[in-house]
Amino acid sequence: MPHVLTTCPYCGCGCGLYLQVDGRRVLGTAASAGHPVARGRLCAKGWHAHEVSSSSQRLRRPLIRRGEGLEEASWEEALDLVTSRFGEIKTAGGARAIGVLGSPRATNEENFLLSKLARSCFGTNNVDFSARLEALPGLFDLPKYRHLTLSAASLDDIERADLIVLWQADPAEEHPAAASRVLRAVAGGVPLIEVAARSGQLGRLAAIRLSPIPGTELQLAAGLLHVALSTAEPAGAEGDGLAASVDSCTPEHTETITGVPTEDIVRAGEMLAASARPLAVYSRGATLGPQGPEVLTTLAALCRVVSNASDSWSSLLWLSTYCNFQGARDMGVVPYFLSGYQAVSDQNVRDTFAHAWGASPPTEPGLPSWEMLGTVRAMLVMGDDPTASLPDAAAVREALAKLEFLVVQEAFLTPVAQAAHVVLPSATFAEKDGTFTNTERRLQRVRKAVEPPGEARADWEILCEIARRFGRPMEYESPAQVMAEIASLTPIYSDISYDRLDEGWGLRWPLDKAVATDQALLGAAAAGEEPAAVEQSGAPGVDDDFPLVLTADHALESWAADKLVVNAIGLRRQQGADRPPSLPQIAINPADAESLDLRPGQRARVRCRNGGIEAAVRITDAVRQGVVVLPAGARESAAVLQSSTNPETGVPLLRPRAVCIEKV
Amino acid sequence: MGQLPAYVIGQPALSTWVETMLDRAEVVAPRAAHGEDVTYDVVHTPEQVAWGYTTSLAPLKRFLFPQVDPLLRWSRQGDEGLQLEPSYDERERVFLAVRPCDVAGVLFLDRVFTRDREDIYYLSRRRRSTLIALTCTEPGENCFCVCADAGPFLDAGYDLQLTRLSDEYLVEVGSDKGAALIGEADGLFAPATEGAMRTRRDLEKEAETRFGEHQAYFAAALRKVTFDQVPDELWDGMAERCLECGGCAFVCPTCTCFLVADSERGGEGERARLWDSCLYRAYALEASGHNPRAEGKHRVKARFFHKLSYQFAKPLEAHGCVGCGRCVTTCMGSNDMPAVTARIRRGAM
Repeated sequence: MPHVLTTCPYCGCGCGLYLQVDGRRVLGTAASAGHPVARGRLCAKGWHAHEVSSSSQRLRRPLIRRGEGLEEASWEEALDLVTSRFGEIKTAGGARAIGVLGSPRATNEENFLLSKLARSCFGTNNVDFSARLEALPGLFDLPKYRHLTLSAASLDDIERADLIVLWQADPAEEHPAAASRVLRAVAGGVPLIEVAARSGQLGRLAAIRLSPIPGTELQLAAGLLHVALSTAEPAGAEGDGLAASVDSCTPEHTETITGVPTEDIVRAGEMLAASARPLAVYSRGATLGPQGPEVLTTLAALCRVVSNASDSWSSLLWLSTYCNFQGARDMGVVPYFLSGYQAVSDQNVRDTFAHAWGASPPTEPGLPSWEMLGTVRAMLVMGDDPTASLPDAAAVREALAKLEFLVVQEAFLTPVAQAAHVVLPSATFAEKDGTFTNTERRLQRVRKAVEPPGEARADWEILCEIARRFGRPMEYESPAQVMAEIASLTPIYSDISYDRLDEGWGLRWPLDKAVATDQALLGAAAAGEEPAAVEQSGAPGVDDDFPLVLTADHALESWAADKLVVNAIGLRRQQGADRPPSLPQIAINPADAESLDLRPGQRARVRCRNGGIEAAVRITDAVRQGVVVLPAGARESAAVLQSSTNPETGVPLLRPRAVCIEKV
Repeated sequence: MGQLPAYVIGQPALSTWVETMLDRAEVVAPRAAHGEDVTYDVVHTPEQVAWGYTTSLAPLKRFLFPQVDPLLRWSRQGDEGLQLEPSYDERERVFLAVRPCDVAGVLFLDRVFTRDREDIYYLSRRRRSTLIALTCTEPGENCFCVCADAGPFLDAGYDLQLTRLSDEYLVEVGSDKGAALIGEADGLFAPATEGAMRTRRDLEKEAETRFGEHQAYFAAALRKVTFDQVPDELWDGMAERCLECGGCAFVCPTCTCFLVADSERGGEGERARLWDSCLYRAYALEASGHNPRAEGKHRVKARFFHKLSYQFAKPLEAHGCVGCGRCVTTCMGSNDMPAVTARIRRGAM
């Protein structure tokens, strides 16, 4: 009954776990006591990691669209069709007519090969994964922003901090291994400050809960910085520049804008000033906010100013959403980077890859996922789910339906697979070898425990088959060989090998010390850089017709519709996914509910200037008066939130919006 | 102890004895996994047995009551209707060098799975199992079996109990099944001397003094939980720290909750029972949609009621804890048994 050590396929924490194999099935999961992330623990999802492999919903044979429906076909037929259609469309429309989407849940080896296929076979830089919009894309090139979504801190730093700030993050929902450490730290006396529109479970243990009006987080950060600067004694010119930039952000002024009481702002700012090792913990809730980059830059400046620990302390802990979110970026599933954040626009980089791959990657950066949809004519989607990661799910479904040719590699018949012309059945994490990179940049092995069901194949094998048919064979005996190629082309992954990964519990990149200190590569907060102008808040204006501020919460019910939850027989019940509510739930403060005469569970209409949706009322004091909260993943969320595009980066966002709520 | 026979066995006889076991059954023993991890797993050679281990990641219940336990399979055969085929696991197993707390856990499961009626899936495995305990002379840092009367040495319940004495093992016989196992290889054993028995008793006394900081003060907890004297706020405080991972139920040797699920594909299907946790929000969710334990504090209270209340301890002849310490390792919050009993005794978080 072998116990196979592998890495959890759910969140970005990357807990190690053992899959228990009996015969040819994975029949159980056990926790690893020695694993540095898991430490003998697993969350509910981890404890059910064995379920997806033997799900009765697995795709076992390729599917081809004939008429209205998808019908089973042979691999020959399916791959022949893929080759001919991609060939036709490329001939007619050029390489720019093709786009590929990788996945933050596929292995590093698979993401790397997808990038290679796209760039050297199809000849396009239209390479992306839709969840990448959570990591400040477009700004990532700039060192001052890069470090904001590239954690120097580690999960264990949560238990070394002397003050923890949860900034628009709910680890109890999204990153339980981090939440577990917060619980331990708090039990040991470390104070916790929570900043959130909806207070999460950990907020109940917070010393202070700050609930700024959605869209005013930047002004709150500036107000905290103001207090910290007037209390602490930051050294030198940086302190003067920062103080000047937040001079007008007095606690009273900040209260006026954010709605957070003055005394709380003062107390939180003083706690920050008194700390030596503050740790700001944040995730996509912060990066997808209206002024996300500016908020985090200010937060970074705040931590830098108050922290008087040595340079070895990093105050920013970025928690990426999925098991290989970090790795997908590292591997160059990015329209303008090859692996290791090497720019396609750099001739030297293109030459190096051309030498290794036999064809030069194109020069022009490609389209990001949200622009590919609606522009390209054919797409290859390797396990990605743009309906889950991009803000407007309905628009995504529409765009997918309009593609001339869509090929989807998937283990389950997800909504994206249902829109495809060809579906290629793929293996889950339990059925292939590879590596994932967690949010701490820890590379860990994914180990094959059982064979995939039916005729399903590992994504990397499928990609090699496609490449062969395109006349540019990619031949590897194993994923270990792919990693050898990755290591040879990717400075941040140099010296990584499966032998080294097998020795301990994974490796945090970079191993190369020279790379580790390369600030141009890894980014650093620029000292003296002033936070952005703070006058303009991102909060919507309210009036008598639309008196409440509606915001989307990315942590709320975030796993309920996930493909590795709904297709896991026991887990879906635990996550409430086997009886999904027919209406999205809208969280509302008891005082607001009373004045609107709303009862728990009541059907209500949430209306904004341009439309509305129906929702079920959930009354909770986790949200402040005047604010209502919807899960960001709710199907209709885009209909009532404000769609907008960040002017600098082009990233589509859902912004808070003024609404009213009426009984139906 | 008492009048039942005892033997000693040294190396290489011990390895030979393990070979004889391997010839006639699946042998499950502590086995090295990655790094310092040790887990109960099937071994194929005597060298794979990790005799010097402290504790395994998971209890024995996986082998008798698996995390996914197929119960029956069906297929639809056109006009012939449903063909049903039950799944029984009839593998002969020897559980070698398992911890006394884990043996005590199995004995508890025996009572759970025969109390209302005989659970044929569990018993199919259990009746074909032989339990060979290895006593603890060096408790682990999270262990507290001495508080739960489940170790570090057992008086009864095992088929055989081994104790390491310098360079050989004492073998105490606890049942006919154990005696038969000795009988099959009696040339390998020598009778235990008075000296060996004395050493064994000394080692037990010594081990009882070596427990660490995780003590479970059960007396107050048993009384207060039985008589509903634990304030609501205390359960609420514990629920605040519970991340509903289910780990405590999954690693506990005495937890047995399960849900039953059917899955079908193309006319063929399987019914299986799957481990469940009473701390999951949907645990008590009814078909109507009503949830009698919608709040975390009610679930935490229900869990410890089931574990500690005399209402359950009486029919099950023990309260629901063997002091193995796995919940201390695996709880994502800090709601392990020693911490909970301490809070109940103090009346505060």
